[in-house]
Amino acid sequence: MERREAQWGFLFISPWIIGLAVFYAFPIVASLLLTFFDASLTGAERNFTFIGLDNWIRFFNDPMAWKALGVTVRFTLLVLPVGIFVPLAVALVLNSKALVAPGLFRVLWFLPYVIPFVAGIIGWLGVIGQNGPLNTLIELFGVQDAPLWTNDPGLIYPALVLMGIWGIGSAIVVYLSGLGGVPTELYEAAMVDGAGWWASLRHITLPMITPVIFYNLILGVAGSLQYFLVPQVLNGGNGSPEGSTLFFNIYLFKSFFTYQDPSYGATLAWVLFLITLGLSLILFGTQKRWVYYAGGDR
Amino acid sequence: MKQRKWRLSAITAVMMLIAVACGGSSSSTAPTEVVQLRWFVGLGTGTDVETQVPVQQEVVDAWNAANPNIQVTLEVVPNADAKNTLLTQNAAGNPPDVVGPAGVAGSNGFYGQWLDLAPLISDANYDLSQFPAAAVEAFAVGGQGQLGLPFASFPSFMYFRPSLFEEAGLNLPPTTYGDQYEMPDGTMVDWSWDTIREIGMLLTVDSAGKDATEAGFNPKKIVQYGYAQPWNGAPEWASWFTPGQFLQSDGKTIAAPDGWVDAWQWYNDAAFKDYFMPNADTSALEEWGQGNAFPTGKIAMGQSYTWYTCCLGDVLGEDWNIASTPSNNGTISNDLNADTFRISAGSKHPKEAFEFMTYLLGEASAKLLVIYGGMPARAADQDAFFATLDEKFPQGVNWDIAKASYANASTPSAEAYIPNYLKARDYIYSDFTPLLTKKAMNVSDYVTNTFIPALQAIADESE
Repeated sequence: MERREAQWGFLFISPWIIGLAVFYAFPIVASLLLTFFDASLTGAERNFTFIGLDNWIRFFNDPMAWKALGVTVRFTLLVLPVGIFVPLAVALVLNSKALVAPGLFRVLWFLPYVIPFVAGIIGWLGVIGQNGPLNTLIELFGVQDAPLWTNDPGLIYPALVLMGIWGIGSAIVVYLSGLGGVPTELYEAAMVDGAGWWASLRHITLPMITPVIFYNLILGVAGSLQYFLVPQVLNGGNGSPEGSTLFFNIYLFKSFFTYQDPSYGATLAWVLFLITLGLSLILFGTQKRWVYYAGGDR
Repeated sequence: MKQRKWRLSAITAVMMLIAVACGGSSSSTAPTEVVQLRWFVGLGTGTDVETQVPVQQEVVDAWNAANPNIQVTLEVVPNADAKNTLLTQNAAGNPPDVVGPAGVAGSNGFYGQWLDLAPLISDANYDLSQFPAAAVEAFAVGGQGQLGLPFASFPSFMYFRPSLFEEAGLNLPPTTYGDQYEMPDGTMVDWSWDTIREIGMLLTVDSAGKDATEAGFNPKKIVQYGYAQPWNGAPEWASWFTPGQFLQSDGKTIAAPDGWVDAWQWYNDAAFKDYFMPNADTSALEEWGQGNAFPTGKIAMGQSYTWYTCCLGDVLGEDWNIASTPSNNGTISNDLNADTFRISAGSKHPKEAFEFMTYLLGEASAKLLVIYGGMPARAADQDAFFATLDEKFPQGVNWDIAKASYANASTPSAEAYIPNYLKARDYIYSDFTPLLTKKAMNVSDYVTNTFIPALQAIADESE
């Protein structure tokens, strides 16, 4: 009977298993195997040759790949703190009892998130453009030569971070749910002990929502390393200005499709995966030191 | 007994199969084998479903009707996907027979994948004298052979808007190569890129009506520019000053051709120092045509190719004409785009494919050139071609300039081959954006220390 039930169970979940095998497992394994072959579509020879670790060695000697990795790391270091702390700060304000009409503000902060991101980016390009409202505002303060935000290597990252703030609605919602889960009796006890707002935040709120911060941190790291959509929409992935938006994922995409070199593109994809995995494991390794799970150790 | 019956049936079945299989190749009973060819369109022009595809299909239908033994199928792939599709087909051993129209750049990404036509030309006694020798030579690629034959040429020249010149009290540009230009003070000067700079500034006007040479001119409030560069990239821009190519004669070394750095500096100065050309940020604005500023009607001049007649829009009306390409240090360099058809190296029917290709280059060319907007490489066909353009643009465009531009065609082409072509070309066109994005750029430093070393590294990857 149990065996029969199991068979029925497998039958019912078989679409999912087949989907997983065909659309995830197979491409993952195939892409790994591809890294050991020369499958370039260009050139006179039509070979699909086993080349061992050549693609991996090529990565270590590819200045453009390292440049793209450097761009991605620099941007991650800039965007990650903003992506973690700005939504946290907003969530704290939205969770405050002193705020009038908190529901309205929550909706307003979340609204941009539901707008297709590509449309949002195009809108932002108008805002930060040469003659856009941001520069008009800056000129009101007496700045004669308003900056070219998207064409200045020194300003492009702040511009990208600014655009990124547009999409923090999701993180705010996660923080709000975390803040809602902090037991109110802890605040009442702290108040009895004479703790003020700052002490409550530091000793109760932040420790209690560290799992949520950790969750956002993991997502933020993975998201930053895979940054693709904004530069692709911004300039078609051409890396301008001066290569400062040649993110690793853009280079990976170009290697696959623009340069018609799928085996090297697959290698770059695996490099990105290994870096993301490594950083995630490091972060998971640190969580014992700073993440508090009320239900016990994880 | 039963077993014997089965064995007999099996033997009979096998004999029937053999008989059927052999019957197909029997010359005495079967009709002559029909060769099936595929014509792949998408690497260049030819993909417009309303104006181009139906005409190409007509051309194919006419061929199929006249040649029952060589049947052609038209395959049109959108330009954005064409390169990937063709590379995949080639890699899978299923290449189309005839490919095109495609330009130099569109074809260079398929290095080694085109058939050398020389033996076919020789076998068919195909008459090459109908084309200018230089045009035939342009498709002879070192080490690979004669990869194409002349079909459509797109010479370049200066588009200009006469009313803006008249409004500024300036003489119109010269319409004959070699003629000088009369400045407002009556002095005669060469029609050169220096002159373009001078009159470009006079034609650039701010919202207060001041031109770019006047004190108090406000570069933030420009309402009309003297010059704009429609599309293309840094190699084309420079090759209008002087011809050249990145790959040096040893086939390995990458270097900036002589004069190109100065040319690029001219463009950067035009955008950020002399303000007679919109920079990248301005060009991207809708009011300035989002990269195609000349048709806005607020641009006095713009250098481009014959194909640019496609994209002049409605605002200009009949208020545009063409003038000579400016000279640089007394020499005119006219970059030329050229589209043609090619045969895949892996074609299973090269002889028949060549036959069909010569039909496209010959009998069908009159129909095709009109829909592609290309000037016939065959001099005898050029007048008829320009007559059709005159019907479309009745203001009396001076097409003699276009014909004469052919004589000053720059060699090598701005799109000349570089090892690791797809990546190199992407890098050239992507990484040269600072020309119009970076204020007061020292182009020489950038080219020497950043651009060329990076391009060399990309070229070296192909080894």
